Order: sequence, then structure tokens, then C-alpha cells
Amino acid sequence: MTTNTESWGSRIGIVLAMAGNAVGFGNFLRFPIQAMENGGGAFIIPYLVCFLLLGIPLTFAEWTMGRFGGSFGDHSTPYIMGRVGKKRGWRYVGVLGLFSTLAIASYYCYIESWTLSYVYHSIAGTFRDMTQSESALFFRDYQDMSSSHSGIPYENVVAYIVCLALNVWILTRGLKGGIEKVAKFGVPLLIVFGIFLAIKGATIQPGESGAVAKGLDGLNFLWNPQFTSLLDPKVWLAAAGQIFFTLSLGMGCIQCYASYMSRDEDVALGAMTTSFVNEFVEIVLGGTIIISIAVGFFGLENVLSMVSDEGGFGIAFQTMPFLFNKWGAIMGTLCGVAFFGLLFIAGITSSLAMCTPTQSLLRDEFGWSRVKSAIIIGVVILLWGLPTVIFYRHGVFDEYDYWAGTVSLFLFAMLEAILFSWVNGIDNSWNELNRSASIKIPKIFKFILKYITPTLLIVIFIAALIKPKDDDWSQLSFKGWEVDAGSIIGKIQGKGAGANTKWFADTLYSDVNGYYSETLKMNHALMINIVALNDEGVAYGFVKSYPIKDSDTLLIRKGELVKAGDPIITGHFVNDTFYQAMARFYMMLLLLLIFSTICYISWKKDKLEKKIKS
Amino acid sequence: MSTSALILMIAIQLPVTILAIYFVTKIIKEDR
Repeated sequence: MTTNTESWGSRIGIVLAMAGNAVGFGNFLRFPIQAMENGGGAFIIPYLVCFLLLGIPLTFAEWTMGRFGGSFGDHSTPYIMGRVGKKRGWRYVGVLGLFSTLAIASYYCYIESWTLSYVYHSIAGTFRDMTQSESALFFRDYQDMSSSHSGIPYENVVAYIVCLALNVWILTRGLKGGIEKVAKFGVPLLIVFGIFLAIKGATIQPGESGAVAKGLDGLNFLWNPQFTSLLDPKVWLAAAGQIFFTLSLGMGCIQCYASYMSRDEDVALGAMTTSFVNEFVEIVLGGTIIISIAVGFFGLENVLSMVSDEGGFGIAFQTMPFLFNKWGAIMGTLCGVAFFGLLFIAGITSSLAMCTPTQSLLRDEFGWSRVKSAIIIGVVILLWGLPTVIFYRHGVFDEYDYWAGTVSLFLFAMLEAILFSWVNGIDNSWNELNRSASIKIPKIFKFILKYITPTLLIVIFIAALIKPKDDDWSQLSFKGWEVDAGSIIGKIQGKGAGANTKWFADTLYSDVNGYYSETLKMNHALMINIVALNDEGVAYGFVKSYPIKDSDTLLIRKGELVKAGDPIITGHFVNDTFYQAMARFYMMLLLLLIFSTICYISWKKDKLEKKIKS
Repeated sequence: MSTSALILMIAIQLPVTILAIYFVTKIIKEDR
């Protein structure tokens, strides 16, 4: 029986909390990188089409299901989906939602802690007078537990725990007194910081503070329309993926927040508001800040090379502190605080949303207090998150991101779209969506929700399963094709592990064709660097580093050419494949199993209570 | 900045901004 009497304080509070959930690192870090990697203007058109065909319809579905479940006292996805689907199987689909939220929160809090540390270092002046390579090295050093730039030992672990403690403390304050207050203060502040940085970036002129190009040159690249991209499946997949991340779909956070609304509140208006606030932050602010500042100071060609070499979230942390310094000490500090502070707010409002579904389950079904449930969630996140902090360099973080933050989201969203439109019936769902709506949703969305959105999600999921090598879709044929290392099948087969596939080995092999350039001492550890060469024998900027201990034997000489698969060091090694397998099989599957068991126990408990009553 | 890029940017950013402001204003009004 539920003793959970949480509710929102105001409608604007719900919308800001929902906007805070949606606005995250994806808006400021992932969107610009995705846009650059997929050809700038070539990306924008598929992105907007996906927003209309996937983003808005799924947001409608999640808000509607959440409010519906909430009217029966259900606040977590297993119960909400079980209520909508009326079959036990749908409850287990809902378990997938709980699993995703907590698994993602485990590594998301780590990125959040980077931003918190970077705010501190911006104020402390750590980045002042740093060169670009020093700034990049700072980020790499930060991932190393033995290094500290603040004097605090295990700085990255301490920052992670501080961040997590802050999340737990806000969760103990509840929806109205915690999450809503943070959103009401944080989201407007984030927008103010964003507008300030976007104006600063877009107005960069060549020659000013060492800038080599106009900030607007970056925007020109982003917004130059290229209609040929409409035929490229790779760009469509990237655009659909971005829409998922940015709107926080397929996780159950939206359902959970919406379940605390009253049955007569307007979900249609709420869904449209949060979707468009998120798009404003992403397209207008997120699309301007990093691109215009980086292009202004590095030039377009250099930024494109950096994106293709480095990619990912790391690029902003490696370059922005250096670029902000070009505006002088005071403005550099101000911009650093604004940028990393903005990221921190975006991160914490999202991680709070990720913790709420599990907290709701514990409170609803086990009658736990806010404080007790928040602390237990904090402990679980700490246990699952610490491996991403400690073994970050071994690919544990990426493994969590792939299985929980990508595959699970798509799978969950695909099933919830089928549940909403086909199992519950589009007419029932449409009526529920329009109940108490103060805006008229165009009828075309009924057709999109029934046919287009589920079909697109199934196609995207199949495409992710069988993606051909190097995203080259012309390889597809009835005779078969080689799958990409990043496809789901490729991941299960362990493709992309390089030459060192064994968990434990006594020989380390080179993963790349290249030459042994140097031995470096990095934070108490010796590393040998292999400079990668392309097919023409030219270095293209990628360097692969391998750790070496005193007891190991180096098999190559400085300057010697090596081929991928050639032995380079003998000794005793634990390869990255071991850590990745542990992350995948032990951490991820265990968490899924724990959630399934908790839900099973709570359903058994419900049944027993009903029996006693009758 | 090229004219086509400017047109696409304005054609997308302007409606998104206007709709975001419109929806937020509507909710604030209804809250009152």
C-alpha cells in the first residue's frame, strides 16, 4: 500500500523540473559534437524531422502514461506500465526503465562531478596561463586517481562523492521542497549563463584576444543546409539518437514526474512546453556556445580534426578552460564559472530525475521514508558508479553508457510506443492525452503516434543491431556483411577490442600500425607511446599509450615500426576486455536482476495484502 | 555567414524560441 503523498507545488514547478530533466549534458556537449561529426547543416534537417516524428510523440506518450498511472497511486515505470498494459509482462518492461535510470545516474554523476571540480578550478585560477596541451593534459590527469590539482587526495573520487551526497540531500527534501526548488532556481540561471556565453561566442572577431576566425563561421558551418544528407542513414541514426538523449526519453523519468500531477492537469501543454524549452536550450544556446568559441580561436578545420580525433564529452573539458583564458583573468574566470556552472545545473537537475523513479518505488511499495530511500539510492549509485570512476580509462564508463544509456533506452522506448499506441489502443491513449488539454494537438500526431513513431523506433533498433562496418550502409546485401564494432551484435561479439582480447595475458600487442615514439612518466606510471600511422604511412595525430612496469620487458626499440597485432611488451597484464566484461556482465546484469527481484517481491507483497483484505 | 545558412538558422531558431516563450507564458498565466 502506498504511503507516498508527494506532490508538486505549482504547474510552472513541474514544467521547470521536467525541463531540468530534459536539459542535460546532451544539450551543451553532445549536440554540438554530433552536429560537427555529421556535417553541420547536414545534421540539422534530419534532427528536426526526428524531433517532430519521435521526440514530441514520445514525450506525449510518457507524460500521458505517467499521469494515468499516478491517478492510481503508481509512480514508477513497472507499476505505471503494468497499469497501462494490464499484463504482467509489461511490468518487467517497466523494470528496464528503473534499471536504465540508476545505471545512467551512476556514471552521469561522474560527469557532473567533473563540472563541479571545473567550477572550483576556474575560481581557484588553476587554468590561468595554461597552454592548450596543458589544458588537455589536466583533463586526462583528472581521471587518474593518483593525481590531484587541488591538494585533495583522490580528487576525482572525492568530487564524485560530494556530487552524489548533494543529490541525496536534495532527494531527502522531496519533490516540492527539493527538486522543484532546485529547478525553479537552476533552470532560469542556466538559461542566463547560456545566453551570456552564446553572445560572447557569436561576437568573436578575428584578431581579438588571439581569435583566428569569426565566431559566426562556426554557426555558418552548423546552419549551411545540405540536402544530400537526407539520404544518409548514418546521419538519420545520429539525429534520432540525439533526440533521445536530449529529451531524456526511454528512461521513465518523465512518467515518474508526471505521475505526481493531478488527473485534471494538462499534460499536452506541459509536454509541448518542456520539449520547446529543451530545443531552445539545445539549438539556440547549445549549438552556439562551443562551436562558435572553438571555431573562433582554433579555426574550422582544426576544430573538425579535433572532433574526429577526440569526439565525446571530453573535448569541451580539454579546450574550454584554455579558450576562456584568452579573454583575460577576470572574464576567463567568469566564463569558466558560467560554463561549468551551467553544465553542473544541467547535470544535477537530470540526475535527480533519474533517482526519483527508484525512490518512488521504494516509498510506494515498501513504505520507506524519503530519507531512508534517498540514502539507499545513494549507496547503490556509489557502488555501481565507483567502477566508472576508478576504471574510467579501461572503458567501464563507455560500457555503462552503451548498454544502459543507449541500448536499454531504445528498447524501452520502442516497447512503450507499442504499449501506448497499440496495446492500450490509440483512441484510448489519444483521449487520455487530450483530457483537460488547453491546447489543441494537431490530429496528424494521432497518425504519427500510431504508425510512424513505433515503425521508426523498430527500424532504428534493427539498424543499431546490424550496423555495417564503418557505418557504410552500401555494404548491406543478402550475402551478408561485416557488422560494425559499435553495433549491438558487434559489441556482443567483442569486436573493436583490438589486438588484446584476452582478459589476462603475458604479452601485450600493439593495437595500431605505427612506431614507438617515446616513454613518458605520467603520474607515477611509465607509458610507452605508439604513434599511429595511416595506410600511406603518415601520422594522423592518434597516439596509443601502453603502461609498462619495471618488471616488464619491452620488445621494441625507439623509432621501430610495429604492425597491429605485433607483440610489444611481455609481463603480466589485465586487459581492458576484463574490465569491460565485468561492467557488462557483472555490474549491468546484476543491477537488472536486483531490480527484477525487488519488483517481484513487491508484486508478491501486493497480492498477499489483497488476499488478506478480501 | 552565408545567406542560406542565415535563413535556415532564423527559420528554425525563431519559431523554436517563440514557441518556448509562448508555452512558458501560457503556463505562468494559468498558474495564476
